[in-house]
Amino acid sequence: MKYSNTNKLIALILIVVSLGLGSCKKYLDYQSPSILNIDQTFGDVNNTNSQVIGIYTELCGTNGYGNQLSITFPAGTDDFIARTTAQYDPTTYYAISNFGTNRYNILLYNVMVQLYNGIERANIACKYIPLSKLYTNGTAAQKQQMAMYYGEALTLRAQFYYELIRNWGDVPASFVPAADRTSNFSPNVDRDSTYDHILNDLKIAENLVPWRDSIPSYGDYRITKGAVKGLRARIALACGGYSLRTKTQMMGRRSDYLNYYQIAYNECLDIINSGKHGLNPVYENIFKSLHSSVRYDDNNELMFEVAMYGQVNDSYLGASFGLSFTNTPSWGTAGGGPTAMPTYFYEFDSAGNDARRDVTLAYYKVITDATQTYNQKIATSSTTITCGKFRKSWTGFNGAIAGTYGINWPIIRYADVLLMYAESANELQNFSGSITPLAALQMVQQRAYGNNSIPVTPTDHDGFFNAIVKERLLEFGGEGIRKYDLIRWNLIASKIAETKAKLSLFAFGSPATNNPYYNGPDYVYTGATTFTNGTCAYEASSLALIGGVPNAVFNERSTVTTAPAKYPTRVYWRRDVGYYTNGVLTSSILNDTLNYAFASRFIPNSKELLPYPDNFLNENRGGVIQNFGYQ
Amino acid sequence: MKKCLLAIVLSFLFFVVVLGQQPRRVTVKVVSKENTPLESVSLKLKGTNVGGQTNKNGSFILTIPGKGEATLIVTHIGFKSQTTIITLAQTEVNIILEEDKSVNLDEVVVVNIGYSSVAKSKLAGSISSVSEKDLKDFPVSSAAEALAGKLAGVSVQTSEGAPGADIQIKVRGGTSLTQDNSPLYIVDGVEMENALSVLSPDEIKSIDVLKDVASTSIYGSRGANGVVLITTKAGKRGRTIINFSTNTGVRKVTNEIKVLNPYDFVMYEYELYHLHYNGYYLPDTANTFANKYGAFNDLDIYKSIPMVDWQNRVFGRSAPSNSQVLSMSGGSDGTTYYATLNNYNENGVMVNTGLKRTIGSFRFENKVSDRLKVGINGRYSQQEIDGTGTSDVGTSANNTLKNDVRFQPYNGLINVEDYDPNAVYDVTINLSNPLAAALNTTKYRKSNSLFTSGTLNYQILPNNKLTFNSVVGLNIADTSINTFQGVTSYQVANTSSTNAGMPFITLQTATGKEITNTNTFSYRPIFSAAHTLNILLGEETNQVDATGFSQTIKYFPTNATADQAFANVQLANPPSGYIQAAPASAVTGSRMISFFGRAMYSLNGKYNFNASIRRDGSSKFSAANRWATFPSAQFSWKMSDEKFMSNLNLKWLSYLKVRASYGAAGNNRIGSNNLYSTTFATSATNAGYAVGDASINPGLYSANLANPNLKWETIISRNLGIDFELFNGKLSVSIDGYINHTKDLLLNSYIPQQTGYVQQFQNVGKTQNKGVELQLSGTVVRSKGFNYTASFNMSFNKNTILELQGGVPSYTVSSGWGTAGDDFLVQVGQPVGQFYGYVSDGFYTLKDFDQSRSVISDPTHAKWVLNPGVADASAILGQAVVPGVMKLKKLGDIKSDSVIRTTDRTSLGNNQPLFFGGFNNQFTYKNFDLSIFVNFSYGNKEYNANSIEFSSAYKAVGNNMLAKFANRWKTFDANGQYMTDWNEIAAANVNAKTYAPTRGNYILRSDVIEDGSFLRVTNISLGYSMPKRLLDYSVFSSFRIYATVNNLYTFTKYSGFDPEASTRRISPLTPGVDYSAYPRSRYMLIGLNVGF
Repeated sequence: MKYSNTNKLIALILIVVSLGLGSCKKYLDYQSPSILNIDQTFGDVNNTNSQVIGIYTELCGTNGYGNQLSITFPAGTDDFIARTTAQYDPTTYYAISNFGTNRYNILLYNVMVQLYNGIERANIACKYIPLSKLYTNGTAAQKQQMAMYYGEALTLRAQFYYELIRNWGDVPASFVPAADRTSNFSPNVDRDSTYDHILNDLKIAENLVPWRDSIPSYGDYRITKGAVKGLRARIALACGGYSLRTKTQMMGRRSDYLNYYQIAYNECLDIINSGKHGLNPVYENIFKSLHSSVRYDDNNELMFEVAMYGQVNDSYLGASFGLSFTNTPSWGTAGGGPTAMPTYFYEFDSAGNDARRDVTLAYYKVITDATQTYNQKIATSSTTITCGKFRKSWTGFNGAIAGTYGINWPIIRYADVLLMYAESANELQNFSGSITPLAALQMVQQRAYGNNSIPVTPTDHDGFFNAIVKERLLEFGGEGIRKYDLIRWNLIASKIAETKAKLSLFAFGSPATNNPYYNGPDYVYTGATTFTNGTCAYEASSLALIGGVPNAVFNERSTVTTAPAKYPTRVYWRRDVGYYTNGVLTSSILNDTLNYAFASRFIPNSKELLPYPDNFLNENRGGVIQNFGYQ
Repeated sequence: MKKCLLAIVLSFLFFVVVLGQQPRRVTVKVVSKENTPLESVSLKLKGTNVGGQTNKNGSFILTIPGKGEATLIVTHIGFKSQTTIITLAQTEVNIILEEDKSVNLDEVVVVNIGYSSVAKSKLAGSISSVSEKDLKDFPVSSAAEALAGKLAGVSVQTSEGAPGADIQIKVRGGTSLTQDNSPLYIVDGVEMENALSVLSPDEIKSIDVLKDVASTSIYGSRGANGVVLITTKAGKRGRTIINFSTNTGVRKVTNEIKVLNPYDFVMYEYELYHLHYNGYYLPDTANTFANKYGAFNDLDIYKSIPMVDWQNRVFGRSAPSNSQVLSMSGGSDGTTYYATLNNYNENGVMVNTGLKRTIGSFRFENKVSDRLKVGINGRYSQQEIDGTGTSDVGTSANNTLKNDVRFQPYNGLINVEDYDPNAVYDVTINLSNPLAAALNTTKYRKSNSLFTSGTLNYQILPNNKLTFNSVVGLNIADTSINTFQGVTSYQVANTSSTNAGMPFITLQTATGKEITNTNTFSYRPIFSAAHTLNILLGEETNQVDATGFSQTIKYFPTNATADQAFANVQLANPPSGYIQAAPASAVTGSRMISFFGRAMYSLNGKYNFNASIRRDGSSKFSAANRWATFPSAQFSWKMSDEKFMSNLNLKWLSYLKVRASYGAAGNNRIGSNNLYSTTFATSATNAGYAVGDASINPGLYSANLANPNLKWETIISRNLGIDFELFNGKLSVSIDGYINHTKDLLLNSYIPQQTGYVQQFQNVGKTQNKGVELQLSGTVVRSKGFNYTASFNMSFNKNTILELQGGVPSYTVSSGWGTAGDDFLVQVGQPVGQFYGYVSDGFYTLKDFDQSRSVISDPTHAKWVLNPGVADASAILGQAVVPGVMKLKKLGDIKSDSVIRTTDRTSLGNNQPLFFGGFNNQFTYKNFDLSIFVNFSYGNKEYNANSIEFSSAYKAVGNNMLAKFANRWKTFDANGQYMTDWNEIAAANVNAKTYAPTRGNYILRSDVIEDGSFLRVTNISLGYSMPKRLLDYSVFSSFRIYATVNNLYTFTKYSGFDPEASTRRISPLTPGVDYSAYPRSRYMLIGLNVGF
């Protein structure tokens, strides 16, 4: 080889090298094809849809409405409570449900992180969708779709903030993506201003998202106009209602609260007048529809439900909350979780005419016969009544499979719209709507009572308000609504006290006079009978109880003292609430402060809000102030 | 010699030149003045390419082309060159070479300093080296293993004993808090990830580790963690040498964790079934205990039944290994080559685990002309690691050592469970049958890697005055990991809602491709003998592309075997209501361009100044922060050449040099997914939503909070070194001291959660590493027939966190194996990896309780009341405080409150040793050689997480405990009755030595933080080489047989398997956790090494 050739080769290399250097900048601008940048994401309708789906994710799973936000956080008042006999530990989920948690509870942290994660995803969508070319200059169809996604993002963000505010109060709030902020740090923000912001957002959103019937593919798994309006009404009532105020350290409400009742009134009336949603004639079917792909909700009473499935984004409904199954041949072991207040049973119509009772309260559990062949049911004690709205047997998950079953969580349904309408109209004393507040209330009642006649409702302001308070307890038990209703009405302290008093009467058994529970039995004798997975009414009425149907048995003093052959199992009823030593009642679940008694650590004007988690305060380095009940 | 000359030119072109010649043979023999034959002497005919090297007899047969006289030039290191005329008539030439006294032999020891080499005497930086000689006695699977304790300042930690286990190499302590701290590996000039773990010791010629940043800064980026330069073996001019070596041996575990015997186990179970975790008596109304283990009165039978040692059943085998290496090397004057085939086959001591590896490599160098040299290097390896081992990055549920330690220690009686191939994971005891689990969970990790490089070296100006050097490297690796989880696995049993209790497999594949191109100009002007100057200018591009694919396929029939499932995925059949998981793929990559220059000036070899600068651009940072410059300077002064030194006439000091350096290097080791801008990734779990029932739609989400200000992490280091030789060079000593500061740490920092993210990559925080390194080597005895040489090194390094993000003083992190609450503390002013937990205080005894207020007469309502002021650990332990329960120390103000809370945790020490090092002794006597190598580490603490788990009944009954619990606090009397009398309890527990196993959470406390100091006899090797006079009668040119024991014995107080175990390695913040580690074994082997 000659040198000249080699020199040419060297020259060639040098040229290649220098060419390479010329395109340095481009060479170093590398982006993996596995990820999308902002332009790629919001420059495409499908990608934008995917990004919005990513916002919905944060509703799901154990730290969303799959468990903590649906089962743990709302428990602890007069519908369902979480109890255990384990020794008190403020860092468990029981402690949250008993108003006794502290900043070290990791569950609080996990939930907060997830909610803010959802807000960030929504913030990104709310910024970049309106900036996108498709939103401003796309085809009509593209514009409409992008608008819809924008509306969904605004609504979801409002829901996340609502959830944060009702649990923690004046939470830090920002409406721009984190990457656009000048600092990662942000202080507490007055809840009234955040509420105003999200109510305004929802106003925008309701004009972006169409009614449910024009987007059938959404079903009620995604946000439609009715849901936006319904949530706006709910948030307006929370904003106009009471909450624990940082400044006064008292429960209080803003002076212009009636304006917010007006918002709720308008939104609910809009929904009612639209005719797009209606009551499901069969109360039980609302909940059955949450359990599988078979729907029993033709009137679309369910306006928005959190759709959950799969391991991570699944719900623990039915698994950790719901009708209890123990080693059953068909469904294995499932259910349990927060149990009904023993007195909740007696809040329902004493004649047993209210169909909601036997859907809401599963006062039986499902077990197996000795041969492991048949599913059987047997009555529970009064403190182990589970929530019957969630049942593994309604899902497609059969067999002994443990874990999660894809049961959805109802966020808002039409009955709530009717009752919010009735409540706000009553508050505003506005009877000019297309239906009267009383008619709205009675629609909900009549659905529950079927052909039976409904009770009489007073029509004066206070009387009607009390009827609403009662009705919402009966209608929404186990749906995560009661605790926050009581807070916004400023009734939480009094209802807890009232429930403790009732529990005391229930447990202590005396005096006979003025004790509504006096006729309830100390024990109930029961036997195992077949569980057919039939209607709630059938399964309750076919329980093997000595003394007849449940309504009769639980309202009668039993004279039986030993178990008859047919009903070999004695379960505790009134006796279950107290601790008896040698037949003498020594204490009851209500004053057992060592363990998790009912609302055992509730302090008025203090524990209505949860503590900010330790990690959250630490990372904020003093920029966020702890709620005063936990300082 | 052959007539054909094969030349392969690689940079961008290949070509072959064939030349033909007429032969004329002359035998040349070269000897020294003492008449010793000289080997490897270079011979060259003037004006031609003809030449070669003498063999071990000092001779070489020269083939002279053409006719007429030829001029032979003879050169040899350390000798004066000679020119001899070979006349036409000569067929034999004898040459006597004269020693060149002016050249110190040491000078020719060259050290690779990156992009070029320098004589050791002119070195100004801090570099540790090992040569093939130091590696030859270590027949181990990877070069990394052989390096432990060999290099001052380089810590080599084997994480566990599994075949192919991770080996962590750190140079001068780790600098980064959350990122990888491993050094940069350069193999023959080309970057190669994790090189030491995949190269076999046989392939390596030398390893040079650049330790001070002034030396590493020529590599700019990623030089922050040190640079390991590996030179593989190349051919030598001379006859073809064929070498074959083979060894075979067995591995055996050296210790085991002692557990309760059957009787003690059952007695403990009796207690567990009858004692509520809150300390009162629990009547076993359903007779569950008796149904499982028998009535109390019959339990004596367990005294006579044989104990089954499950650890022995699973790890006890003598695991054979063998390896064969065949190499061929040689070359003519212009061409050298080296080819090797390497086969390694290891069985793990645990059943169903092993490693197989085959490597073929080829190295070829050709001198195309006097000015142009080209080389090509190819290396292909195929490796398969089998078995899941025992440890997993997940929580305790996924780690399986507990099966082998905790499973009931007997067969027979009720519930016979020997090895049962149909056994499933037992949810009541949270264990699987150990053998069934080990055999039914399968993992195959296969990787193929191809590593090729081409080099071109061209002298633009002759005599190396100006040269151009270009290297192109291409490194391709394919890995596939196939995992099978059978019905014995926790995953199948406990996530049954998604797995339906059926086996599943995970198929993962990944490919990686890295291309490096380096082009350098080297300029060496010649001024005078006194001054030498060497200027290097270069440019480098580096491109990394990786792809990954994974798919989980579920719902195989419960009796499907692993191989059936892998071979026949269509066997999977989801039951109704279930859907298969979606596959996932990902592509990542990074790009880098660098420019660098270095000037080295030496005055008489006495004063040496080096300065270098490198500018790097990385695709991992935004355009504004992409480029960074890393300068450095070094100086060394050979004082022994100074007159004032020679005037002192110090007989004992023959050499003295001081070195000083200062430099900066960078680090960009973060993910490559454009962390500086908002991007979106697709996921069904992080962003999925069930828009219909029974399915999940994946969505897009922003996984990272963009940080447009992200920039290079910088390390600045100062190094001071001194090298000297004593007693006529018999002992050489090298001492280095350094202080490294790392700033703008690329830290995945915790940020306020209202941002929507928990962490963000930021340039925050500072760390410091200070240390001293000492290296000694010398000849202890040199006499006729017997030589003893020894080398010793010792390193002290102190790591300190100087600053954390935003000035926070500390934060806690979790190692994630299973403790309640975080178990590590990251704290300013302290080293990385502090264990964070409670201080043990023995156990509660009767004197801690108030007899008058405690009510113990009614067993089912037993209530114990503590004396005032006695620390109450119940909330932390998750069980009531009664006598015999573990006691913890209250650290805070005991007067106000004696309840122990999370705030009563404290730092319990850390995993960093005060010093570590190695001591190598090599003896030769006649034809025998013996080497003894020990390495040691002192002052490091080890977190024995196994011990927490095996001391706790948390989560399950039916689990065996550590043997020490035979002497636990007793609650039941000899008749199995719950003791209700104060004095009776006192009498029964006079000899109680330990708390009863805990019943609540796993918590970290000081009694499981153990001294991890050790002295390990790493290697003893005895060899015999056949003497020359015998070899001459044989076909061999060399012959050696040897016997070796690796990991012979470890002197340590540590109670677990191995004080070096570290299984929570995902984050550098959680080192030194011995949780479910695969036990380390002793390896005894014999080997043979022959050359032809």
